[in-house]
Amino acid sequence: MGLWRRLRDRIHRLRAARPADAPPRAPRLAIAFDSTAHTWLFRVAREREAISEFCAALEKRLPRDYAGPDTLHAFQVAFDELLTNVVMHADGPAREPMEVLLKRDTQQVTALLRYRASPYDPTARAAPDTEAPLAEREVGGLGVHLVRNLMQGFEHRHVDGWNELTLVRPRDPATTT
Amino acid sequence: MQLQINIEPPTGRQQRVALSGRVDTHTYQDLDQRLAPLLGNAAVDNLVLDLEGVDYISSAGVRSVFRARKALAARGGKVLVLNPQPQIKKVFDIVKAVPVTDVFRSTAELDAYLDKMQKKVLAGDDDE
Repeated sequence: MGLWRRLRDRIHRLRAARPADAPPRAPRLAIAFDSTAHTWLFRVAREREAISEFCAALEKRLPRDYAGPDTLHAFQVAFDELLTNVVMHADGPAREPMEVLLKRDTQQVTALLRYRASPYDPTARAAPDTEAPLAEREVGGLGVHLVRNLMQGFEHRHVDGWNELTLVRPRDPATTT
Repeated sequence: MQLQINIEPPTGRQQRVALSGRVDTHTYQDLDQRLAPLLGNAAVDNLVLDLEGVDYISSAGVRSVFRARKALAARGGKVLVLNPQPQIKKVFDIVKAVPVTDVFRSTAELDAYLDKMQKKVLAGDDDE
């Protein structure tokens, strides 16, 4: 993926350009973008605080017409859920950040979330019974159900040690006219 | 990015809590901690969550609301949701976090409901 590699290289160059006396710790959130391709790459540390920073950055950094408020909100909710699951439950190198690639075309926004860990497919999780009586309902298990309902596409694959989740949702109509 | 939690003085057996900001993976634990004593207080039947100032809720926040519902339901109480913004209501609707009959678009609508409930209790009709 040429664009993916270019954006990753850009993040590495930015990191390499840090002052010599800067602390060696990787930033919680690193961002690179290619404005001509409407493509953004976020590298998010495996920490809860980093997830909140990332979701806030989506609001602050993406152009207002990138997705529209409804679609942006849907992606924020989805990322919050999926990235939190990685931080809380995934194995793999804890110091290696999660990566989110956002691409936009005329009609839709596509997100690719990648992280290195053993295979785990959230799309295979059974939907909770939201019609069950309150006393019988589980408190957990709602997040993936939310993602599934907020997105038009939600797919998983495991490639070369990386879990890759692809999320697709149309842009808000007002942003495509 | 912060969550503000304003716990108002109780009114009868109602406890009102106004939230503003984001209820997400970073802030839901604050909410759980602030709600815990209210949910453990047998003098509180209904918890009114005023969400007018909440512009974002994640599944972690939904779980907090859901936990509160289950805690109060165990003693016949309810969580009533006031003034949710459309994106918050949509999230609630997808996971059916709160019955539509327990969501109110205005304080007047909520007050009318509470008055009705109060009258039913005084009349000895506790079907609802």
